[in-house]
Amino acid sequence: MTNDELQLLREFRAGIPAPDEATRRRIYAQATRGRARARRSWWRLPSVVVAAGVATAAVAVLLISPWSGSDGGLVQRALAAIGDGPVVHLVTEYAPSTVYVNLKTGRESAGTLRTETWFDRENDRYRSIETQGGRLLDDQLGTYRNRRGNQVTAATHFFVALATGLKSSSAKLVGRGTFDGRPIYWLRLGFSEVGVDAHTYKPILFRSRSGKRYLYERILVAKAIGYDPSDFERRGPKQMPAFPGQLAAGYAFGSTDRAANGTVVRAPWLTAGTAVAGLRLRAVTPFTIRKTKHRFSYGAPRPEAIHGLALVYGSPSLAVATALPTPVNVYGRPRDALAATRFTTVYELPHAPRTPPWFGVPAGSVEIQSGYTTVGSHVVRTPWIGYLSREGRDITISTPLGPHALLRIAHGLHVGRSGSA
Amino acid sequence: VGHSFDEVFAAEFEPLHGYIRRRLGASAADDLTAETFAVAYRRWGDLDPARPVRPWLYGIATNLIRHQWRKERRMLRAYARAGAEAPVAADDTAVDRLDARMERAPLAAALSELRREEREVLLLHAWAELTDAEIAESLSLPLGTVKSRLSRGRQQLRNRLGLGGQVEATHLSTIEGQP
Repeated sequence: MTNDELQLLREFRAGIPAPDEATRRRIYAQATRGRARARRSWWRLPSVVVAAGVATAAVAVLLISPWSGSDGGLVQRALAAIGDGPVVHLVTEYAPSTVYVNLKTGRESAGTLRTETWFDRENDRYRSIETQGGRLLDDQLGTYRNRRGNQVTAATHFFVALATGLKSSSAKLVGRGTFDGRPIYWLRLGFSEVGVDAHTYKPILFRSRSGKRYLYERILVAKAIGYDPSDFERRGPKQMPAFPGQLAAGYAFGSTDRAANGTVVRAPWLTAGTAVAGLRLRAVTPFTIRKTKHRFSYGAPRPEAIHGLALVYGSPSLAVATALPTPVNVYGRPRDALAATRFTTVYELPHAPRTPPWFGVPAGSVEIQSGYTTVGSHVVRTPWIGYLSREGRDITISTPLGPHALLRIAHGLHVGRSGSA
Repeated sequence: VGHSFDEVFAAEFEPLHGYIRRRLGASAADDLTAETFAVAYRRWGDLDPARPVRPWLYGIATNLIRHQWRKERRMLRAYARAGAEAPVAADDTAVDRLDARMERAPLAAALSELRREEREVLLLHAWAELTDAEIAESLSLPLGTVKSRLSRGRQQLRNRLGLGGQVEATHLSTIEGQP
């Protein structure tokens, strides 16, 4: 028995978005209140009264002497190392899960992503800059309270909470370790932890839980500084919602259009030929993405309807009728799980400037995303995805066959001739 | 018990919430996840230190989900009606609605046709990623029963999905051609 049905089930499960932090906190509160309700019976009343008294005393002690406690003043020293200015300034780095391959030289690189944020607590202003290899990708301004999606990193949440909430809250020492050969203390606040240098007390590593795993970010700067208006002036591109190394936020679905049968697909468009990487070209299908509230409404200004082309490659033994994953997802992860495991598809769109994920790919290179991804504590198998721009087209290659097949297709892409489709 | 409640909550909240959400939908997931952890919190002191926590937690969730079997059946039938507006809750996201409408129809249909006992074991295996022994612990069943239910469930799913043969696709508009 093969594992196809289990694979399908896991992919079905993997589509679930993670609950947000607010939901997590609310459910935690509900769950733990449940115990309190259960204990509210008359014979337990004395112990409840005693417990309440102890809790009140503990809170009072915290308010009087917020930084002293079982950590021996560590939290206080860590806070002193951060400073007490009104603006939280944070610079973190993390390695993306993708790699860029230069198609001419074959050289691989994984540009480290750097996020720099400023949060003005007093005026609720927020700025975030994303750079990769020193190149500015994203520059956002907004308010912290009205933040959206990826605009505020988990590390920023943590430090804002640390700087604004600790005096009445519960950061605590939860362990020790080493990072870059330096001993560190782990301080936990909520569901995230920061590694504090044991000698300087500066925060140098941040981690947040994702299922059973931790996601790590190196901290380069974490300071609470004075207000400087120039920190809140945007200098780079505006409102880029997706970063290299991640899937673009959401899907951009296109529909195959029956009325398009017999229409002419105009050059220039690209093909990897009738056979590549042991696969044969099975179908060439035009598709259309129509701009709606939820679909492809971000990135560079886009026309109302975008006409693209999908080349579907597969084994000659597979049925042509199953060839095109539908609805079309130009980011390369078909919602049809069966198609995703059987076919290799090349999606082509007219090039649009400053549109992720193609925007982040260096010229002449292809960005490759691994065919394994983690959803919470689950590792799921997904197609290998490649993004590149060439000859005025933004191209996505989606294949279950692995990075070598993907690279062979990327190498093989060349301008096709006009043809009847 | 080797772990504190907070540690278990931190590690298991997201997977458990996702598991319940896929089975019963977004609106029920919050309530049932909260209820599962509330039961766990209340019984924390009674937990045998020798027992692993995860199967115990999913056992609680499974019992709660069983009371919602009508909702699960409605959910799977909604998924199965690809192309139609699925009756999702008002607070479900656009992605949920797309999910319900556009994909996985055959899989959802096949799941809805499985016997509850087999579906339960299969989903604990594939979605909660429990081992056979953990499922046995979770459902208080003999290991052999778990193995046979899992095997039957998988086989039935394969048969219903036609995974041995050609897969039908009726909504495609493919155009053969050469560049």
